Formats: sequence, structure tokens, C-alpha cells
Amino acid sequence: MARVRRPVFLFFTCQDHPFLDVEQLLRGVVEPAALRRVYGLSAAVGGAVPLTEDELQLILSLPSDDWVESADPRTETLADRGLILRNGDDPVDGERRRRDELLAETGWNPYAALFHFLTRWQGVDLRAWAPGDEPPDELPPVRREDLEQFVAERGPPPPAFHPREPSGRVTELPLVDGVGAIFELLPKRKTTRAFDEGRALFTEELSILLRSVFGVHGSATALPGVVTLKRTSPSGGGLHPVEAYLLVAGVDGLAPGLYRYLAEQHALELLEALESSRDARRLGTSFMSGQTYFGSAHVLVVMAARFERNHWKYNAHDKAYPAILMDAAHLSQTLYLVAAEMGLGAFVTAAVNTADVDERLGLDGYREGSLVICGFGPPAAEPSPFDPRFEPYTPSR
Amino acid sequence: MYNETPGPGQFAHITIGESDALDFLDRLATDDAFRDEVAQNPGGVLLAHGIALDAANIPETVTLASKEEIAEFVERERRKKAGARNVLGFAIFYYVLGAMPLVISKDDGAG
Repeated sequence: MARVRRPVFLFFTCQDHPFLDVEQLLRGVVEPAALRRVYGLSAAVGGAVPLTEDELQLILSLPSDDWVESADPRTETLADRGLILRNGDDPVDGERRRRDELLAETGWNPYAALFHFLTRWQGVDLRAWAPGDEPPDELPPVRREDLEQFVAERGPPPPAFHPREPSGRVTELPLVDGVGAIFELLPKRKTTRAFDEGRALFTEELSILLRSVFGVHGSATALPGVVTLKRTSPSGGGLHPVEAYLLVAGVDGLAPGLYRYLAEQHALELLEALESSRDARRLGTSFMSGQTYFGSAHVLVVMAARFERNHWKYNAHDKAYPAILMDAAHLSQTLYLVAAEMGLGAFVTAAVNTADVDERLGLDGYREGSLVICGFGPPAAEPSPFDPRFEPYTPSR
Repeated sequence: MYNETPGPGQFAHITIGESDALDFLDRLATDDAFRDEVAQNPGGVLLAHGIALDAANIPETVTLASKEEIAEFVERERRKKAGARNVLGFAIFYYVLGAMPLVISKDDGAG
């Protein structure tokens, strides 16, 4: 007899889908009646699984903190779908148990876990949506009529400047330009979507950028073993849980491959060698869901969070996950600015197949998992057709 | 013309998925042989598609709704779904706004 329990990190949602009243349909009547479905959302499985009312009641009858014996045949099908945990020798069952336990052990907030693990991507490729019979190697530029069709269907977006009902006196601020290097640098920050594959990135450039963005510039020991680091970007709780994994495609003197940046030594550890720059760029493009305009970058940086380091302080905390995302955002902005100062192009993207990236990098996704990808390298001489054409803007008076 | 105001939701004993549900109705709107199967063995055919009805609620003589009415419903719902998930959307947004592409990952049935 199977011993089962309810997963701790299991949620339910109810949704209506268009359908017809089946009983009326058999009587010659077309009567819309929503197909009301309950879905189980398991952070340990990462998908939405439809449930019947009976199955829902069965799950709710099980404890999450104790194993109980069940002879109900429905427990088998629910366990097969990951909505009940089964205490047996099956490796899939074992992995689901391990994940559910790990989520609790590593201090995941339940709602953060729901969001994070239900929004991971695997195998998404934008090129599959491109017009044509076969997915193209390169994403094609989009025509004006496509935009017009999109706007016709959705209407215009909310305006760029946030309008409010006049409610108070407006004080115009003096238009004063800042003086100093940072004020000259800031307007140069931009997203680059075309890189010069004919010119390699120098190792020195890579070193400067990594040390400036992901390097450690100070440490403080509060207690033995309790060390706070200082980077050039802020971090929630001073914990700096975001690590840098590199996919090197075009660096002079550095073989194509996957590397881990060791901030402690300012060094790179080779995780997996790749055959060629072409293979590296192809892998990078698949990591970034087929965004071929980013795939030409010389170096990609997978930002992966050591969730458990943040959760050591912010255990099951409501704001832990947003703080981790902010950490990654700060680092990307710093990377943009350093790249701009060095005359390099840079980008960041959240459209990442994070489940695939985690698997390739050997990250378990629960203690440590990927979030976003940045890239950088010498920019191409000509801008990408995907780049917005910005005109200078001066505040209107 | 059918009433477009949805009635109460159906929940119990229906396990057919969202996309399969419209495909099922599509067959009823286009496939005469399938309609005959449903008319002759409604309980069995519906059950095979994840729709379990109590025998007491199945009429002795089945008179299926017209193909045209069912097709009109299916077409309307598919058009609404296509509008909500414009396949061109991903391309337009990275081109015009230079932001993260708008893309819908594999439909998991959860809407």
C-alpha cells in the first residue's frame, strides 16, 4: 500500500474555459457553460495540472507533514502527476520529495516559490513564432503593418508620460546639467543588439568588466563565518547572492565554453568546454529563447541567485524574492555603465529558458538558480534593425 | 442564435482539457460520422473524451445541436483566444520598444 502526503508547496487555482452545456447539447440546444477547471500548481513540478472535484477533495484530505497509507487508486494517478508525494523507491517520486523538502529547508517564501517555479521557461524559441513554414535561423525584422495590426487589436498603449488629473501646483525644476564623468557616461548607456563578431574581446577587457561589476571590493566579518561583501552594486541585506556564470564565445585567449566567475580569486573556472565560438553562440541563443540579435555577443553572463544565502537572513520572507531580482537588476545596470565607459555594447534579457540554463550549468534551481542573462562585447559598426531610433528629448515647458 | 450569456459553470466529472474541449466541439460541428457516434452512444463517446455524465441526465433520444450553431460558438471562442495571444506580438514588441519580447510559452491549459 502506498504511503503518501500532500506537498507543502502546492497551490490551487480555478479558471473558466469556454464550453457548451453538454446535457443541453444532447437536446439540440447550444448553451454556453464555462468549463470550470481547478488546477493544482506544484512548485516541485512547475506546471498546472487539471483536477476533478473528487481529486481535489482527496488531496485536501491528506496531511502535508506526515506520511499516511492510502489504498485509494486515485492517489496513484495523482502521484504520477506530481500532486501527491509518494514515499517509494521510484526515482521521479524521490526527486519530487527532495524538491518539496528543499523548498522548505532553503527558506522559500511560498508565494515566491509559486511565482518563480511556475514561470520558468524551458525550450521556448521565438523563432517558432516567426512568419513562414520553417523557423528561420535569424529573427526577421518586423514590418510596420504588423505593428498596425497589433495596435488595431489591442488599442494604443497607455501614454508614455503618466497623465493625472490636475491636483496641485506644478513647480518647474531648473534644467541644470551635471558636471563630471558620470554625467557624461549615463546618456551613453544603451542596449546593444548587434556585435562585431570579426573582433574578439580582449581578456583584459573581460577582466576589467567582471571585476568592476561582479568583483568584490570589500569584506566585513560580523562574526566568524558571517561575512558581508561589498560590490559596486547594492544587495538586499548585503548578502550578494547573485553569481556570474559565463558563456564565452569570442574572447581572445579564452576557449569557448561555460565558466564560473570566482569572485574570491577574480578567476574563471571552466565548467564545460565548447567546440567553437559558433557552438557557444548557438547555445547562447537557445538560452535566450532564440533572440538571435543577442546571440552574437562575445560573452554572456548568466546571473544565478544563491537563494539559500538570501534566505538565511530573509527566511520565508515576503520581500526576499523581489530583493533578489533587484540585486540582479542593479548588477545589470552597473554592467551597462561599465560597458559604455569601455566602448562595449551590452544588454540584459529576462526572456531566458531558465530551466534549461540551470540544467546545463548543473544548478538545482532551488538552492541556486538562473534569473536573467546579460551580454557584452565590441558592438557592430551598424546598429541592429531591432534598435529603437531615439531622438534627443528636452522636458516640455 | 444562441444565448451569449454564459450559464453556470460545469465542474464535476469533466476532465477534458481546454484546447481538447474546443476540438471536441469542432468535430461535432464538422464530422457527421462523429455526430452519429455521439447520437448512438452518448455516454460512452463523451466519457472517452473526459466528459462523464450521469445516465439520468442523458436523454433517451439524442438530438444534437446544429453544426452551424456549434461552429459559430467555436469560431467565436477561437477568435477571442487568438486575439488574446497574438502570435505576432513577440516580434512587434522587441522591434518597436526594444524591450523583452512578448511571447506565450507552451500552453499548459491554465490560461
